[in-house]
Amino acid sequence: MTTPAMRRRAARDLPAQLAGLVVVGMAASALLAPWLAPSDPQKLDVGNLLAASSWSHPLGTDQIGRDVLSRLIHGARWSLGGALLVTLIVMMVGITFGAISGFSRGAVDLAIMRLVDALLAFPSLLLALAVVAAVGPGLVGVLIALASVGWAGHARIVRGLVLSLRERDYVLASRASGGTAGDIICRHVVPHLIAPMVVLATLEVGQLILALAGLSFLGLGAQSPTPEWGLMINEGRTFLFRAPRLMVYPGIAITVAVLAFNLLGDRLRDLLDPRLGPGDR
Amino acid sequence: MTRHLLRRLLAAVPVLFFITFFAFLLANASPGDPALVVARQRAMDQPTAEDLVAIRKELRLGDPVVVRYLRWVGDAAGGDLGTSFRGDPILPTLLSRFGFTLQVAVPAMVLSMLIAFPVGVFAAVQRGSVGDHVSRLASLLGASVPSFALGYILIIVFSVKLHLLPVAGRGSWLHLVMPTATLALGAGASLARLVRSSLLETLGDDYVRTARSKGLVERTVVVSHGLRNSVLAVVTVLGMRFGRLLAGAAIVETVFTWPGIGRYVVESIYNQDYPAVQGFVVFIGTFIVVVNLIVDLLYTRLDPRISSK
Repeated sequence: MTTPAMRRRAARDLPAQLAGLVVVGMAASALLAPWLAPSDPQKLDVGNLLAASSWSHPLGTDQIGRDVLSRLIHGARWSLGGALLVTLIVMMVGITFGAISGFSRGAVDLAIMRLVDALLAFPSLLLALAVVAAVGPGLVGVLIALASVGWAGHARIVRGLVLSLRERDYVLASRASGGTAGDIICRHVVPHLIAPMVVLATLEVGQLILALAGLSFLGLGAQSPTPEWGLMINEGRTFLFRAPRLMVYPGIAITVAVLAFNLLGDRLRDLLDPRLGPGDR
Repeated sequence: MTRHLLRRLLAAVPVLFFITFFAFLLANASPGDPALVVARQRAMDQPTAEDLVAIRKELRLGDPVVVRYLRWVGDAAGGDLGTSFRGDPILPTLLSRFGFTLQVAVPAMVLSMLIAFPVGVFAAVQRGSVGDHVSRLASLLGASVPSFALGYILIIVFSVKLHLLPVAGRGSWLHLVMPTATLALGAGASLARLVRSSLLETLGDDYVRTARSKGLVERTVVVSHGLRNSVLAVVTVLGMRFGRLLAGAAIVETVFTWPGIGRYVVESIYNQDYPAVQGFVVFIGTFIVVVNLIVDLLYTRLDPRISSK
C-alpha cells in the first residue's frame, strides 16, 4: 500500500507530521483525560467564580466555578470521540453500500444511487437538523442524525472506485482463471480502497467535529453539563463582555483539532492518492 | 434546450416527493404528544384530559398517517403550509424570515467568490512560493475555524474593543457587515482551495502546454484557458455551496441574533414545533432543488462540451 518513496516523502513532510502529532495528542488527551486534567470537570469551586488564570486553575474557571482546562481536556472525549464514532459508522455504511452498488450494477445500483443523489442534493446540516427535530435535542440524537446523513458521499466515491477497479486487467485475469468474488474483493479491491478511505476518513472527522460543535452550539446537541466544546461556547455567550475567554478557549480547541485533521487529510491525499483529485471541501 | 429543461424538471419531481415524505415521516415519528406541545404553547399549565382531546380533535390527529400526509401535501401544493404549534402561519413566516436570511446569504456568497478567486489564482500561479504556502494555510485555517467562533471574534474586535459595529440584531446596513463577513470568510476559504486545485489541474493539461509553446503571454494562458475552466468547476458546485451557506446561516443568525430562517427552524426544533419544521424542510428543499436546476442549466450553457441531446 505504501511504497518506500511515499514513506520517504512522508518523513520529510513537516506539516503532515505536525498535524499527525496534534491528532495523536488530542486522542491521547481524550483517552487519558481523567489523569491529565488538573481537576474534576464537574467540580464546583464556588469560591472562585469566573476566575482568571491561576496555578490551581491554569485557564481560569467558568461561571459556576468549574475548571476550564479540565473541561477542555475532557471535552476532547465528546467533541473528538463523537466525531470519530460517527466517522466510523459513516465509513462502514458508505463503503458497504458503495461496494454493493458498484459490484451489482443494474437495479440495485440504480436504487442505491438514487437515494445517494437525493441525500447529496441537500446540505447535510439541514438534513441533520430535520433528523434532530424528529429525535429531539441531545447528543445521541445528533450523532444519529449526522450518521444517517453523512454516508452518502462516501458511498458514491467507493462505488466509483469499485467501478474503475472492476475493469482492471488483474481483476479480469483473476475472474478468467476462476477467482471467486470473495477472492477478487480481498486480494484486488480492498488494498486499493484503503488509501483513499484513510484520506476521506481523516477529512470527515474534521468536518464532523465542526458539525457536532455547531449543533451543540445551537443547543441541539450535547446538553449541560457535558463539557463538549461547542456547548461550552454557547454557555459562554452570556459572558461575552466580562469573560470572553470562556468562548475563546473552546474555540481555539475546535479550530486546532479541525485544522489538524484537515491538514493531515490534505497531506495524506497528496502523498497517497493524487487520483482523488481536487476535493470539494 | 427546452427538452433538456423539461427532463430536469421531471427528475426533480420525485425528489420533491421524497422530501415531503421525509419531512412528514420525521415530524410524525418523533416521540412525545403533539397535543401536549400545543397545549404548552397556548400557555395551559395543567391541561386536562378534555383539553388534550379537544386539541387532538382540532388538529385531526386521530386520522391515519397516510390521510394526514395526503391532506398536508394537498394543502402545501396549494400554497398553504398550515399553522405552526406556536400559532403563526407557516408559509408567510418562512417567506419573510427567508428574505432576511437572503439579505446576508447572497452578499456572503458573492463576497466569498470575490475572496476565493484572487487568492486561489494567486496560489496556483505562484505555486511553491511563500505566498502560496501562506495563502494555503490561510485557506485551511479559514475552513477550520467554526463560524460561531469566528463570529464572536469579530464581535469582540469590532464591537467591544473598537466600537465600530453594532453587536447584533437587525437595523442599518452596519448590522449586515459582520454576519455577512463571517459567512463569507468561511465559504471563501473553502472555495479558494477549490479554485487553486482546479486551476492547477487545468494548467497541467496538454492544451495549456500548447498555448505556452505557441508563445502566448502567461497571463493570457492563465486567464483564457485556465481560469475559464476553474470558473466551470466552481459553477458545478455553486448550488451545493450555496446550500451549505444557507446551513451555515443557522449558526451565524444565532450568533448575531439575525431574524432569519435558520434561527426560526432552530427555535422550532427546540419547541417541538413539528408543523413548522416540516414546512421548513419542504420550503428549503424546494428552494434547493430549484437552485440546483438553475445551476445545472447555467452549467449546460457554459460548458461547450455538453450539447443538448
